Formats: sequence, C-alpha cells, structure tokens
Amino acid sequence: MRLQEINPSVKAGAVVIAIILLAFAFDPVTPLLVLLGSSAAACRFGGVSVKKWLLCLSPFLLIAIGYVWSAMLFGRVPSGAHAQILWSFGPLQVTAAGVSRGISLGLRVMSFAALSLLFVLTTSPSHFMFSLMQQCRFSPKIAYGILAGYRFLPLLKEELAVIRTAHRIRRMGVTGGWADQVKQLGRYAIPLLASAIRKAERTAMAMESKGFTGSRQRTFYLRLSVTAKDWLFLAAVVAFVLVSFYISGRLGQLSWYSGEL
Amino acid sequence: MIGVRDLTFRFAEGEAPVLHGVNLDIQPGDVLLLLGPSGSGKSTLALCLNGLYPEAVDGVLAGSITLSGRSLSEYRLGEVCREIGVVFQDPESQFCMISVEEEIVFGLENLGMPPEAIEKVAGETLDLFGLTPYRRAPIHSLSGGMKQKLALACVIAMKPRILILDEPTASLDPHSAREFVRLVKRLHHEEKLTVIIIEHRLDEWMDAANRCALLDRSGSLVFEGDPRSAFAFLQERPDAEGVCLPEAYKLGREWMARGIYRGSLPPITEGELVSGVGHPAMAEALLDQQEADWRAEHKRSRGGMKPAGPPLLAAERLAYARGGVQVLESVDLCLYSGEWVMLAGRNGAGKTTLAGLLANVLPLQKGRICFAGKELESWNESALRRRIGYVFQNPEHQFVTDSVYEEIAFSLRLLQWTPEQIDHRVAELLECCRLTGVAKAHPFALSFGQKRRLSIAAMLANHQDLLILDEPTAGQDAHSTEMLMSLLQEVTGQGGSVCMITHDMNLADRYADRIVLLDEGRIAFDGPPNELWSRQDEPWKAAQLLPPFRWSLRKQFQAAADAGSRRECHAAAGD
Repeated sequence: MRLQEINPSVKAGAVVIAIILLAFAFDPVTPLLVLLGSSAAACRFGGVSVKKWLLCLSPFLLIAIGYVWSAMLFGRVPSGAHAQILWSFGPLQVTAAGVSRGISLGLRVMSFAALSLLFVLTTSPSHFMFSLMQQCRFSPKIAYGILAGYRFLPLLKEELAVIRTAHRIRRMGVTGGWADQVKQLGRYAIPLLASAIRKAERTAMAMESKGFTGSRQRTFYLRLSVTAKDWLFLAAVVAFVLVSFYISGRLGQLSWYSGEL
Repeated sequence: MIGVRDLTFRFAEGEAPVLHGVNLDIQPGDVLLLLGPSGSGKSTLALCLNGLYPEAVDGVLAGSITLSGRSLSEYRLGEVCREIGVVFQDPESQFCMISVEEEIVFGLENLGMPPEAIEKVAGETLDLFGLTPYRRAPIHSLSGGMKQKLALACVIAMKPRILILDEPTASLDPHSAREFVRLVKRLHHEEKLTVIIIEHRLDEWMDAANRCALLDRSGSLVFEGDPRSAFAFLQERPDAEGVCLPEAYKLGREWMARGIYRGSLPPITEGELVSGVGHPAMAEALLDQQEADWRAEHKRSRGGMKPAGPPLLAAERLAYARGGVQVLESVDLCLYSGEWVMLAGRNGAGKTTLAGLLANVLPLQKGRICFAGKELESWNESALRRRIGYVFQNPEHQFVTDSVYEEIAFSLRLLQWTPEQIDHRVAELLECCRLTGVAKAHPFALSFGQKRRLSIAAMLANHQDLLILDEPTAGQDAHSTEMLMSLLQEVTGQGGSVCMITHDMNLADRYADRIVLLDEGRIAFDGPPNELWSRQDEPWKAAQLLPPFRWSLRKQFQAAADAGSRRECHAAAGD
C-alpha cells in the first residue's frame, strides 16, 4: 500500500482527527511515538526519502526548540508542588517540571508538523482538490481557484526578487533609515499587487473562455472514490494514536491537557 | 458566422467607449487580421466576440453580436466556448492546472464530456500537438513556446469552429513564434478553422490572411477589407495608426515607385515581392545601398566617431549556474564606449543572466569583469550605479515614486543636483521621450509604451556610461519602437554605450555595431551584423535565429540572379 493511493479527503480527515486526539495529551511520550510513527510511515509507505523528510521537518525543529526554551525558562511553576530547581541564574529558574513541559510542547509541535507533512508530501494538490469536489461537495469555483492560485506562488516569489533588485538599482546604493525601509516595503507591494491582480484576471478570463462556469454540473475524467482501503487507513491512524496513549499510560507518563499553558 | 452590429462598449456607465459603433461580418474560413494601435480596443473586441465581456468586467455593451445566427446574449453561460476558442498573450497566466494532461482535460470536463470520450480526445490532441511525451510534465517546466502550444492544444481539443489569437507570439523567440504560426495555419487548412488574429508582427501571417479589420485610437472600425487594400489605406493615414506594416509591403511600395517591382499591386508576402522584381541584381544592389545608408546614418549620429579605445567593460570566462543547470559557460565579452551591442539568442540561452552579470545585478560566480579599468566587485555600489544603468523587462518593476516627474528626478535628487538643474534635465528628458503631457501622472497609470519610455528616461537621467536593456521593444507597437531606437541612438551619439537584448533581427541588423549571439550558455558569434549572416558555418541557424528580412531577400535575389545567368549561359551554348 502506498500513501499516495489513499483518497486525499480521507487522508486529510485522518490527519485532522489524529491532531485533535493528540491535543488532549500533554506528555512527552505520546507525541514522540506519533512523530516516530508518522516519520516511519512517510519513509516506508510514502516513498519520501529520509533526507527530504528531515529537511522538511527541520524548520519546525527550530520552532520546537524555541518553545522548549521559553517554556523551560518562563513557564508557570506549578503551585503547591515543591519545584525541583535544576539551575538558576538571577530571577531565571529552570525547574524539572519546566523542562518536561517544554519538551512536551516541543514534541507536540513536531508531531503536528510530521502529520501535516505526511499529508502534504504524499498528496498531489490537484488530486486533493478533485477529491474535495467529488467526496466533500466542495464548490468547483473555489477548488479550481485554489489550484490556479497555487500555480502563482513561485511566480510571485520570483517577481518579488526582481522588484527588490530593480529598486536597489534605482536607489543607487543609497539606503535610508529604518522608517525609509518600511516605506520601501510598501513600494514593493504596488507592482506586486498590480501584476498579481492582472495575472488573476487573465487566468480567470482564460478559464472562462474554456467554458468554466463554476457550476457543479461538470464531469470528472479522474474519478476518485473511497474504498475499504481508505477506511482501513483512517482506522489505522486513529488506532496508532490510541496505542500511543496506551503505551504512554503504561509507562506512567500519560497526562491529559488541563490548562497548563 | 459572426455578425457584429453597431457594437459600442464601455467599461462603466458614463465612461468613454472603448469600442465605437463597430460593424463587422466574419465568414466561415476567414483568416481575419484585427489591426490597430495599442489601446484601440482590439482585445476588448475579441473578448466581446466570445461572450466574456461585458459580464466579466460589468461593462456596458450596446448593439448586437450574433454567432451562427443566434444572438450572443441567448447563449447559456459556458456555451460559446464550443464555438469559439481563445489563445491569449501571456504564457504564464492562462492555465489553472498543474500538469499538461490535466489542463487539456479541464476544458473537456467543462463541456460535460464523459470520461471515456475525454480519454480519447485528450490522447488525440496530445498526439496532434506532439505533446504526448510531456503528458504528465508540470506546466511550469515547459518553455514559453511549448506553453503557447499547450494553450492552443487545450482550445483545439474542445473542437471550436472559430479561433481567436490575442498576440499569442508576443513573448516567444522568433523560431518558436514561427512554429506556432505554422501550426495555426495547418489547423486552418485541415480543420477549416476560422481564425481571428491580433498581432503586432504581421509578416508570418500574410500568406494565410484574407481579410483585415482596422480599429483607430478611438475604437472605431475605420477599414474592413482585403489586407492589400488595408495597408494601402494605412499608408494614406499620416499617423499610420501605429501598425507595423509587413516588411515585404513596405519595400514593395518603395520599389514600385522606383519601377523595380513590376507587379500592378504592391506585394504583401516575401514570395510575391521576390517574384515581382524584374532585375534581381538591381534589387540586390538597392538592398546593399539601403544598408550602406543605415551605417552612414549611424555614423553621422555619432559625429563620425568610431567606438574605440580601451574597453569600457571587459568580461572574461564568465560562468553561471542556477539550480544545478549551467546557464553560462566560459563567456568572454568586451563593450566599448559609444558602441551599440545587441544580445541575441533563443529563449533560455542565458541572455538575461549575462546582462545581469554585466550590470552587477547578479552575483559573479566564476570569471572576472572589469568596468572602466576596475574590477566590478571592487566598485562601490553607488558609484557603479551612477555609471551603469539597467532597464528591466517589465518597466513597472523599477518605479519607485508616485509621479512621472519624480520618477526621472529621483536619481538626480540622490546625486544632490540643485533644483534648477533637476528641473532643466527632467524637462529635457520628458520632451525627448514625449512624456511632457503626463508629467504629473502616476507611473502605473501610463500606457505600456509610455511606461517603457519612462523606465528608460529614468535610467538616462544622469548620463550613464553604459545602459543595459532587457528586451525593451517586446510588445511595443511600430511607433513606440521607432521612438525608442532614436532615443538609444542619441545615447550612443553622446558617447554612451548600449547593450540590448532583442529577438528582433531586423532591429539588430539595422542598429547594432555588433551582434553577440548566445547559444546554450556560450557565445556562438560576436561581430558586425553582416558578418553574422554571411558566415559560411551559419551560426545563426544552430541558434535558431531568423535572419533579417533584408538578408533573406538578398539571398533569394542572388539565387535568382545565379539561375538567370546560368540560363543565359545555356542559351548562349544552345545557339
């Protein structure tokens, strides 16, 4: 079984359910298990290379470390409990509870990221939209609009780079203070918006001229359906999260989220 | 097939009409050229014909349009596309799907075609257009020429009877453009398509077009008839309506007046022109004379000075790679003061990259560039920008102020000129770029031609030594192009040098001191235009360049003259 073959809507549903379930737990073990599990699934069943997986996950690692750091240093100390102080410097205190909470938070971020990446890296955007239209009665007007917009993202990025260079040249190496530089950002926005609007208009024209009306009365060349395999996948994902809860519980680590933040 | 009666169109109630009382009939099998200056409403008319306007823009339409005897307003939404297909100008913004096959399928799904039929039609269409190997390729990986071919394929798959082409080749290199035109002509013959064409460069279409409709600046239809009469009509108009006449017609008229062309009507295609000339040798001499005149004029504009002295800019062994692809490989290039160099080559040959490196817009990866005797990298940014100007492909990208006046004054203020000096210089440039009337307007509110001129004027403000331009004439009408060229001629006349990227070999042939031909990241040729065309190994062929009109004519006359003298020899031997 390949993850690419799973119906995109069901896959998205499974990821959302898993994330909601995970949100109830507040311990390091459960999200760690889910993180490892989804990494294994992506590499084994999704055909994602380990290198690419780690590369995609790395920006989230930075965010996670940020969380760990701030939760460790600034987290509320549980009242009543005699906090075990590991290290202190002036008003800053690092407690064992703070460290554990920070790590839980960081792993939580990582597990959410891994689940989302699992979906993104194994799903073609056009298939996702087809599936939303066919299985979820999503409006074609919006679905095709999203696809058209998706094509524009790299174009806009390129264009912004060109505009920045062009402005650099016009300013002849003169850079103003920060107030001036903020004003500069506004200057980039005008040509960027102008061209984005123009492109969007043109694309809309081209779509309409090919008979696109946005109505649901259309045929689909690629029929996507939901089969037993898809339900099995959904069940497997939910089961995996529940098993993670169970293991964590057996290890005596499981704790439910109760307003720690 | 299509009947237009008293069509008046405005974008909003109370605004000036874009189209004014247009009457037009289009017959099955017609190939109609829709001509007019920029902003005359050609595209608007095309979009009215296929029913997108007025709904798409909430415009106001008066008069009537009938398609196959039925009024357009009676057609249901999305029904007109079964009859009329459109290919637009911009290859980047006419697709909404990711892969080639998905895009072709998209239109067929809109028609409500069952999946089995879609499979058959999509397969046939991919085959017909030679796109089968690219079936699953992402659209963004295709070249501009391929994208336009795909746009055409998507439309043709829906089996329309009428095809509207809105400047489909404007952003293609000449070779891809010619391929596209050939494909359309083939479809016209095989599928009996009716074609409506909006285009600046007409030469390629002339052997297929049977009718012309001419719009003027106010959006009125001023002429409708066969192409030959249309051009005759155009030539009578003092402003020529900014339409670029076919080269064969322009020259044919001239030669008719001189008695060299013997046909009773002026020619519209190259073939007609060649076969109508009685004395090939004389025609050849005339072409050479014309060229000598150009060169002389060029020299005069510089007061007889020749580009000389040490090179202003010298690049050695430049190499550049982007995303693992080698864009440039070992490029050596020198630019001299007062010289006009044209950078040519097909799309993706590395022209823009080279220009970017020369202007220090892109970081140098390998090699060395010296500007005015000093390494480019050791120049301080602000000193360098005072001496090298760079004009981007899209003029809008480089506007940094809110008015035309300020836009030109901007760099002068940075250089701390006095207000009087600034005022004087700006007035001078406005005058010379014909922007005086719009000095207070916002740069974004100008027409495309005006924007282009403004972007150059802003770069010219403080007399830079070197001006690098990326396709400044793309999408400009004949009138604007001419203005641009005379502007640049003035620059070289004052000792500045110009390095310009262009696909237009007629321009390169006429104005360049040197043509630098790039092919697959290497310099395939560097020398004066005549040498490029006459080289035995024909480097321009490998680089998919089309030689200028003058040269291809000359070749044909030479061949004719040779054949003629051979005939005479035979005749003499026979006697």
